[in-house]
Amino acid sequence: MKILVVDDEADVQPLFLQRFRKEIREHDLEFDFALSGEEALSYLKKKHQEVILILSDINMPGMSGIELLRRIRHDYDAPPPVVMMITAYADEENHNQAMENGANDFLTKPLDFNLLKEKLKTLKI
Amino acid sequence: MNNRICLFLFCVMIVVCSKVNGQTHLPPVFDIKADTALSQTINDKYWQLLEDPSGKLTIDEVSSLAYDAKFHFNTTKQKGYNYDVNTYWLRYKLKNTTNHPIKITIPEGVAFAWVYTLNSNNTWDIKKTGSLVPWSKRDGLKKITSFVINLQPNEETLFYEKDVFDFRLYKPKVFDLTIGIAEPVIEKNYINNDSNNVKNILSAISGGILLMAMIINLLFYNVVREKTYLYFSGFLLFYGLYFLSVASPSLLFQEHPYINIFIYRTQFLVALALFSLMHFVRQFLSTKTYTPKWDKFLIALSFIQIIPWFSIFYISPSLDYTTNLFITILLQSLVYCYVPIILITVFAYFKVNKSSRMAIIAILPMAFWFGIVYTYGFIIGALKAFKFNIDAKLSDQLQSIDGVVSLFIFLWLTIVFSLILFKRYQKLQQNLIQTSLDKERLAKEKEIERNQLIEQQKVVLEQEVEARTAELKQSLTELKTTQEQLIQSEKLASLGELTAGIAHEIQNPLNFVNNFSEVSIELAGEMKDELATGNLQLATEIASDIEQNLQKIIHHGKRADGIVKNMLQHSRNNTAEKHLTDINALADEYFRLSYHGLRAKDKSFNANMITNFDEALPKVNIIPQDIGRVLLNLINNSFYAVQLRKKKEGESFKPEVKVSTSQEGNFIKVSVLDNGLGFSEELRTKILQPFFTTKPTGEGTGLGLSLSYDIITKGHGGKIDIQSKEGEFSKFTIFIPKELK
Repeated sequence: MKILVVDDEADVQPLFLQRFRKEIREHDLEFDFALSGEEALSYLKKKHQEVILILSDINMPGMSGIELLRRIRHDYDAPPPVVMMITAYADEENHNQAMENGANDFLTKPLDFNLLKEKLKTLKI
Repeated sequence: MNNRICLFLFCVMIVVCSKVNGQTHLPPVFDIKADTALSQTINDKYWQLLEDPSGKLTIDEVSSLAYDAKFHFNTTKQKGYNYDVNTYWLRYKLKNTTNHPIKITIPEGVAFAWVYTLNSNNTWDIKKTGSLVPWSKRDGLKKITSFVINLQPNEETLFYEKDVFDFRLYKPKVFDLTIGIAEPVIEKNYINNDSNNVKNILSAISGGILLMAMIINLLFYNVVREKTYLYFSGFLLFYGLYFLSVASPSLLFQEHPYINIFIYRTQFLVALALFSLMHFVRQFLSTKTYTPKWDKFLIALSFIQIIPWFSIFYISPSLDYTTNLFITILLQSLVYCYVPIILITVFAYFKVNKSSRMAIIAILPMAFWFGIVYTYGFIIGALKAFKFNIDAKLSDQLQSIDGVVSLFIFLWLTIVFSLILFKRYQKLQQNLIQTSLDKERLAKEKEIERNQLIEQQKVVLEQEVEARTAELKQSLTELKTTQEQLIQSEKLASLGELTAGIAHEIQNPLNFVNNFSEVSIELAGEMKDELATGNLQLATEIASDIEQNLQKIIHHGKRADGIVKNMLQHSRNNTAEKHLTDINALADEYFRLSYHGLRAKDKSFNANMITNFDEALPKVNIIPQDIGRVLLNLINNSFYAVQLRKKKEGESFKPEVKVSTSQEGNFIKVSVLDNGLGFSEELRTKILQPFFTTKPTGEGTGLGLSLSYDIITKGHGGKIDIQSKEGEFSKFTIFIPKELK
């Protein structure tokens, strides 16, 4: 399963790689990274067939996560990728906005990787 | 025809011949038997006269036969004149019966006189004289208007004489003919005649003195500007001229006898002198102020007294001799006698002070002589004229000394009045000096007063200034306090805006610290397992991962630390020191802080953040938190501007804020560009003013840009450039010098 992580913080990448090292090693999961919404869209243009899950930060300079979500939902509906939004601001408004725009799930920072793993398991099935 | 020509020729012949011998009605010859007597009257049986009413007859006509019979002896009752006729022709024959030549004189009292005698060439010798003939045109003895004629022994001469009278000037009663013997006449009138000289000299001296006195009085007038002096000068001038004209009338207007006659006959100079004298008295006594009645009287009199002088000249010719004389005497005595008396009365009436008494003394001789002696003289003259047989000896004697006495009277008058006026002048000068002294004293007093006033006002002013200064100082202190408070609150405001950003910024590294710590714990467990299984290679791999993680933890811990420190610096009040600072890093940090700050406030907000940093930018010596605050301010404003535009234009608008750095000469350039609403040129000029804000009340202090401007220009010697187009963009560029002192 290919997962695209969109976050403007570059250090997110080693974190994910280490957290899911077992899954990566066993080729259960495959990670790709984008540092902005725009980068994510250009990535999707080429590889949207491969990607099953998109994990995106909301607060990013330039295109925000919500905007990215909207574009994804607009451009790619067959098959629609699973999109999970991640944010430091776990307030109602953020949550609603994400859900209204078609997010599959809403996660808050700091990320609970165990919870994320559980969710991925359910996705796999 | 022929007859006529013959008649004409005959007539001509008669005229030519009759020039000498044709007459038949000639008077008998008058024999001159001796040349010892001064003069002798020729009895009227020896001369004939011919009236010439038209005055146009010529000597040729008169001496012709046609007029011969018209000559007649004087047939008037008194042997006088017919005053209606001005021109008379006379003829008489004189014969020198002595044995030597005789020079005779024929005196003429008339206006114009010609005498005709035949010379050896049988033509007329013409001589002319007369009181109205200009001096240079007179023949014979000019002064006494007498012809001089040479008579040879036993020579018989026929004289024709033409007399033109001006009865306005002189109205003789008896028509008589006198001849004189030249030698004694000359002796009497010229050689031995001193009386005229004395009179002339005295008159000239008087005139000179009076004119001198006039000049002095005019000078006085020039100084004191009092009319008294002017009128007295007038009096002196006219009397001076009068004396000069009396001294030598023939000298002044020799060639203009009419003027001479006019002056002499009318004595208008006397009239003007008296006129001036009366007005002088008016001014002297200020009668206008004190006794208006007297004043009016004097004015009237001053004009009335002029009338007689002129009337004599113009009225008398039409009157007969007696009436004429009577009126002349009456008018002249009126003026001469009573003017001084009236003046004395006026002075007496005024006897207010010393100068009035002196004035009376000055006029007294004049009043006495004119008032009493002249009156006496006039009365005697009048009585004589009316044929009363009266002894006029006393009158004659008085008249003979009149010239000298008059002279002294006027000199006396002049001297005394001059003295009075001089004293008056002295007094006036003293008054003037006193006045000017008083003025000076007053001015000084005033100045002292003014100085005192100024001094007082100075004190008051100083006090006021002090009070004001104190107030101003107080205000200034308050203002400074307020300003500091404002700056502080502006700082706090921006800090408030930062808080959310900071929280986010700290949250991020903290998350990383936590995440990397957790993952490192996991890795450590795995490493233990690997070590237990002896898989050293994998354990080593994991160890390097852990090391890497720990470095990340340190990095993010330091990052959080830096943020906290920055925040503290930002809120600190005192001016911090300058450090060599990486402007790129600073700009990036505050860009993010601002973004997150706004983000935290408004979840829907977003904007494309673009950075374009010059990687070769050198570090510069700045106060980081100050420049940071400036950047924060500019970036915040930009975000605010794009947010507004987004609200206005909706989703289609892509908000964008671009922060870029570059170098330009000695400056480092940091520009903040946004595609927000921008602002007008009008606003651009106000935007740097303190307390100016476009934000709604409560949202902005209006100090952000003003403080930024101060920080850049005063704090760092840089400048701010502002560009904008309303509705399109705004761009703030700060220039910071690379070499900061």
